[in-house]
Amino acid sequence: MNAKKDRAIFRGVLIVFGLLLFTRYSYANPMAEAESFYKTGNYPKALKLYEQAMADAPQNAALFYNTANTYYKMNELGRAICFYRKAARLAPMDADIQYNLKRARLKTMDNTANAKGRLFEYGMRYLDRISYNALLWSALIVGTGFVMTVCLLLIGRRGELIRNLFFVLLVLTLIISCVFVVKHYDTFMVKEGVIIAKRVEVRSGPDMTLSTLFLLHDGTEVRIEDTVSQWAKIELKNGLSGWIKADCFWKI
Amino acid sequence: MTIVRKCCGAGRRPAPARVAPEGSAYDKCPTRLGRYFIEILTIALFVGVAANSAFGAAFTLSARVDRDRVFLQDTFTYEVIISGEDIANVPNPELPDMRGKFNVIGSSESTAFSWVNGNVSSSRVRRYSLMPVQTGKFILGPSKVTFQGQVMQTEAITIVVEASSVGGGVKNQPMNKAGSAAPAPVLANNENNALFLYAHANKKVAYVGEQIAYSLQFYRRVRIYSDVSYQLADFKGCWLESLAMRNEPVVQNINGMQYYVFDLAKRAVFPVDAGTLRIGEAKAAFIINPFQGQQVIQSEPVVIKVKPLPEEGKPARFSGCVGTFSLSASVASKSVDQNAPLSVKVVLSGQGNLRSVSDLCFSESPDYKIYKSKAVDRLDNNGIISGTREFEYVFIPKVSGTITLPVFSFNFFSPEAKQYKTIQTSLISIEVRPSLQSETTASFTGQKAASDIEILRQEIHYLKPVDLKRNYRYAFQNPVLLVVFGLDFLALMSAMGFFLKQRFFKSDAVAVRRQQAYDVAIKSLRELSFDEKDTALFSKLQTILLEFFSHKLGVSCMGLTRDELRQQLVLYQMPDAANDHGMNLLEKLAFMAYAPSRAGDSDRREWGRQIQAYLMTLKPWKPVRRKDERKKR
Repeated sequence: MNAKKDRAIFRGVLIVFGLLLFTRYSYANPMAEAESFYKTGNYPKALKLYEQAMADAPQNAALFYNTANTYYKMNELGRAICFYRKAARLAPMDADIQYNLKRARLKTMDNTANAKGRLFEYGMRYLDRISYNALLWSALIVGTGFVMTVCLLLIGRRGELIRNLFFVLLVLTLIISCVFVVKHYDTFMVKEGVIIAKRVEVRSGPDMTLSTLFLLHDGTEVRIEDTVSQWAKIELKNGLSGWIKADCFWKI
Repeated sequence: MTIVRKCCGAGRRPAPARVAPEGSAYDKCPTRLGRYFIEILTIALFVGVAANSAFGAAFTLSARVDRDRVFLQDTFTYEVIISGEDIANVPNPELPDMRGKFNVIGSSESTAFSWVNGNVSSSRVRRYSLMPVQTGKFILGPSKVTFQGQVMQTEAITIVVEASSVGGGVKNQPMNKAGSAAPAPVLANNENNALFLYAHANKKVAYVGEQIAYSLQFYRRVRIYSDVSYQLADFKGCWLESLAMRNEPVVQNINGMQYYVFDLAKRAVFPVDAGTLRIGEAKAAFIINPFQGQQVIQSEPVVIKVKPLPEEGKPARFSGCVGTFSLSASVASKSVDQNAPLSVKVVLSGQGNLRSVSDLCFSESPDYKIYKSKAVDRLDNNGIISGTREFEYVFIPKVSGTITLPVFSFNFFSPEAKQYKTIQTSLISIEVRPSLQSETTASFTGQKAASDIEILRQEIHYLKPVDLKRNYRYAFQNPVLLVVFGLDFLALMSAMGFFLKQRFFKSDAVAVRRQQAYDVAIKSLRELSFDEKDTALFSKLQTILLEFFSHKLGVSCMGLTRDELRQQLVLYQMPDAANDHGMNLLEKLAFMAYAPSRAGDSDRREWGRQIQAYLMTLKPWKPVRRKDERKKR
């Protein structure tokens, strides 16, 4: 009787352990499976798994990066750049993301040099490298220090140290606040997209009968100014603008 | 006519007599200078008319030819000269009857005027280009001029017309590089084209990339009035290079007729695509006779069959060149130091599109580094494009000893042999002396370090491990940040409130003290030690009372006499009963402070209670200063 009982308990433990093991294995499987597909060159299957995983982790930089790599291998430059940009937004200091994005951009056909000048371009490039959260926390910390000095001054503590600290923190707060405002605008207000079609005709208006102004190719990054039904008005860094079909690009 | 004498007044000589019709311009002219001018003009007109009459009577007429022996279909010039003092009105000469003998191809005129030693003379030359229509000896009759009833004529001229020699009369026959004569246009026997445009290529069949010499020539047998302007055809699907042209025309005989041949354009054509290459019609415009206007002629199109290059035997890295080439190499020195640069010149020579050759093939080795420096062209475009393209390389040996220079090779397609050929330079060995410099340095500017890693390929970085539990969240979604922000805001608001309160109540401290007067007094009472000496205790009790009054009134009541204090209290409208009671208390307290007998402990505390009760009655009292007193102030 006891032996039977022992065997039953042992079986139960085994089953539970097996279930746990299976759960862990099945939970860790999709990404490993995707990686194995990637290694063997089965990119569509790897892509499918990554896209399924995005439903659970919609804001995961590594997932975006891997998806972008897969698209890059499939020679889908536009889609790759789109996901690299998404990953870079979440982890701007990641060297792998920046490197791969740079390599993908080198393969684009269209040269859209910034018309606003090198200084502006350098500024925006450095701004892209700063994390939104880091900037916000920095602004908050500096702002808190500034508020503390203001409070001290208001309650009558007006020593020289506090007065100097007030001015220093005021300047820092203004600078960081301005940078943060620009970053916030760039992150949430500016709508950007990437051309995913191999060749796109940019027209003078939202209609196929209107004249074609110029052509764009896979991977070109654009700014979305307006959307009308199935069309979107885009603008390039070099100032050119026009209308394209909404299914020709992906939003970043 | 009236002779007029005009008196100019005393002291002046009278004006000279003049001859002038009455009412003429002379009379109307107000100044003396103007009148002199009119006189001169009149005299000159008279003289001119007289002279005209005298001139009209005399001119000479003569004729001449530039040669009296011509070939059939050749041209010669017949000139009729009219000369004299006044020939402006002399009509043009009438030519003799030349039917069946000569054709007038063209005509022109020139005039000349001279004034020598007072003698005026002028001449007019009428020039005619004549072409004989048959051989034989002909007399060119006199030309006539009829003027003012007079008929003048020239002398007759005898012209001998001979038949043209077969193949003769050809000068400077154009030759191409191959040594054969240039293809001559084929005219039908009955054609008698005096001018035509001839476009031709030196090949009818060529390979893709093979050089074809295209020429556009202008043939004429007659003189033309203007220069020739031309328009070439469109060379679609071809690469073009210019070829040298003759500056002077040559004479060519075609079907027994002599033509002057001018080169208008010459191009080396390299077809890019296989198929039929059609070089369209070229056009030329010119003026034979100013009276006829501009004429335009065009050439026939040139059709060339372009064959594709064969795939069989095509090298893996085919240069694309078609032609005939040779390759040679030379070095500046046969010995060099290790890591020192050595100039190597490789010369590619031959016929073909040399300009399209960007680089030669050569093998690489870890024993040396080789860099291309420059390429210099020495091309000859006389007939076809040929010459040399000299490549200069910088060779840097990395090891010492005897090194063989890399073999430079070049492949092309030979249309003559109809096969691909690969040519290469011969082996050149050089002696490399060991260098004292380190392996990683070199005397050549821009040289990479020997230990540089050669990048074979660039690729994107590999995948990253993905933790699906990690989901990026913006900072503003973090409650900690919101709490910190809230605390900051609260702190700031509090400080602001404190600051504003300080600023606001600073000006109304009186009200604050008034409000706090009772509390302050009670607090002081409680802090009293009733064990103190009478003097101290009762003095403090007085002080508490007076401070209470001071706080209530907002003015200091310390140091005031009883009357002054009473008046002050009355001024602030203290009830009389309270006023009296207060004064009474103060008086008694003053007495007790210096009373000889000591008050008992219960008495002391009773005093404290009385004062407290008094203060209680005054607690709600709000002192208001009388208005009339405020106005006085």
